[in-house]
Amino acid sequence: MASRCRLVGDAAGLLADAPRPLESFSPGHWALMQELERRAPEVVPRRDVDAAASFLSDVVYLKRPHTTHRASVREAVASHPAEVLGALDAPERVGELGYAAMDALAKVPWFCA
Amino acid sequence: MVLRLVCPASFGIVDWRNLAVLCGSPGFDGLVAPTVSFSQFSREEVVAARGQLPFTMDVYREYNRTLRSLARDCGVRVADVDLVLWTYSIDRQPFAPFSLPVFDSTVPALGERERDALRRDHQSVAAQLVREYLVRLGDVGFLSKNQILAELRSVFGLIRDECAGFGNHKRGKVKDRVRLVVAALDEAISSESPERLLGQWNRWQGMVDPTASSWIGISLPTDMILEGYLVLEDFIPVKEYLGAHYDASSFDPRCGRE
Repeated sequence: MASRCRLVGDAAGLLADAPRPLESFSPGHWALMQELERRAPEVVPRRDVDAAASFLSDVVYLKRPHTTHRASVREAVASHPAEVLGALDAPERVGELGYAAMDALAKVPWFCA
Repeated sequence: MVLRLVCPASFGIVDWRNLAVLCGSPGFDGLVAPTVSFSQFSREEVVAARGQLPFTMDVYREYNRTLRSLARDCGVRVADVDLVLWTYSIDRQPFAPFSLPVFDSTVPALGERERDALRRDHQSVAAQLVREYLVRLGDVGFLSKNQILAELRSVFGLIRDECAGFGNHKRGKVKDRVRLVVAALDEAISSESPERLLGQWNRWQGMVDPTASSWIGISLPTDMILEGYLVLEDFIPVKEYLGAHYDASSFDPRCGRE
């Protein structure tokens, strides 16, 4: 990989402008991303499969809003409680696991790597 | 995605658009210097494969390492660098309007110009058309079973119209046999499930394949190709795509059940 690349454009301007292009991907995308970022630190330590299934189905919807049926994804995720609990452990141990944390997440339906 | 939401300071989301900006792919250059090279693909391959670009763990590690370096330089979170790249990519190449079935908005109605192109070089023109459809299909992600059914119905609908158009210029036995094929396609289109429709696909192929026992006596695809029509064989990569990404009976995403 090339060494030491830099952003040579107006990074601050692009960041400030982010909500507009994100909305062009899907209406409500920006707000949902912010909401999920807010919910994530609450959901992970609760270790509640239902709450986690809701969160994870919203995450799938965030990535693929045009084709995701959230209720079906939520049902599929909730039907794998052991995998969901494993996935909740992983982010808490990310400092120790590093990228291997993704392996646990990938066992949850709809979260293949 | 989950790690990006839980630890935005350290993780971003990998996406072909962000990789295209980092690599300086055609149409996405100008934000990063020097551009980043990935051993797994070229900058041109990123924009050619788009949503079907394979994201291995090695790719993600290299990608995220680059984002962390850029985040340190800019004094922002890794997730913010991810947003900067994505925003830039959308400015350079806005999203195409989205509607389902994807097929209907991707594969154009064929006019005389397209027919001429097909007559001149059927294989390349048809392959490009199918490739663009599959790229768009990859962009939208996994489809539900009903959405897959709608896609297959659209594919069959086009081929049905192609056969009917071809038959309009024919007489006698050939016209009668084309009618049989059109009827088989109509029956397939009315299927209520994608597995039945895929079964009909195999049956229909047999009707026009001289090596099959169900051959009806004409080499329909060859004659259609010579006259600039698309044939179902052109869309075999669609069948392969579905086979690779979805369970053959439930049509659940394959990787979602691993």
